[in-house]
Amino acid sequence: MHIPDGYLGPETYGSFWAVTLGLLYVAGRKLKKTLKAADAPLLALGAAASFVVMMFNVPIMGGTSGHATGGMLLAVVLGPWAAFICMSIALAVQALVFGDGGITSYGANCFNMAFAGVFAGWALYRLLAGKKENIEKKKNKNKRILFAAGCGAYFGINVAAFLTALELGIQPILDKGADGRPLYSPFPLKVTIPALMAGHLTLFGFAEVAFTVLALAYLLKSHPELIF
Amino acid sequence: MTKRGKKQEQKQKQKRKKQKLWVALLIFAFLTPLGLWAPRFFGAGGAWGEWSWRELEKTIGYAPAGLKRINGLWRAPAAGYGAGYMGYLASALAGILIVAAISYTIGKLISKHKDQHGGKTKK
Repeated sequence: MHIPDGYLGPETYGSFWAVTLGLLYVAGRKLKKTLKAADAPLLALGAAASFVVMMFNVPIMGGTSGHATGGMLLAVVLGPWAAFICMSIALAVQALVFGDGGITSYGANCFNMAFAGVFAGWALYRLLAGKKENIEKKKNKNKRILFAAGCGAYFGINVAAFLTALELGIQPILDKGADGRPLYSPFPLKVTIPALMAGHLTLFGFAEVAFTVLALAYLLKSHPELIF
Repeated sequence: MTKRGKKQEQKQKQKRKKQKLWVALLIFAFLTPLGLWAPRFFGAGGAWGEWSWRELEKTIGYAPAGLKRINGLWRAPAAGYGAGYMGYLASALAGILIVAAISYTIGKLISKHKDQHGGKTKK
């Protein structure tokens, strides 16, 4: 899901850079109201965890590989806006230092994974987990929270994968060279959607669920005060 | 014990609990070479759509002109998370350090004018 440089044309990557910068600004404004200086270590921990999770490649036998993102867990612990910022930092380091994901496509990658994936998962989580007071009182509500987070994790990563497929798939329509061949990502939507969704719906989505539920179960038990 | 002492003790306890999470992350980091091993073991390639222009040329017979032009735009110092399992592990540890340092700094900057004392949990 880390789109490399060259797969998106300038109209696409330019727009996503603009949208992502705007969203990051909003996220900063939101956090300014709620974030305390004492929370900085928790942000660091969350961003680092997301970075590490993305290194665990899960293979489809004889096919491609993918991985979880940690976005849902971050949202449950830090809230969605902080999760968005944390993951954007992890994605920036991946692109700049490790060449995972492009520079031009950074805006799109952030939007897909750190924003859309996180907020889609968060919305479903809140819907299923019920009122915030329930979460705060919890004790015997843990099962419901875990279930909600699991569903959110699966939904979120698949939303991110679907957006990635759309962005890649529209490239042949947007930009063609003089010879009629695509200038950027060469695959049409009917190739990109099945290619990305097959892996994420069947395997990588469940990797995200497993990571989210296991880590959250541990946190609910040992660090319930951390849950957002 | 005085009230103050009790509060101090509780703060210490909170701190130790948080340190445990960093230890957990570190243990997790030492397992990352599994993420390199698993695709090799199961004969799986990399992620779909993340090929270099050369790999793409091999599969579809040509490299789209625009893609080829900006595909190598940036030379990442540790491209592909280093070489081999040790390189992968070193990348995980270095990555944690860099990502954590940046996030910590940004977190401090955002919360700059907020209470510097108290506030052990958010909200």
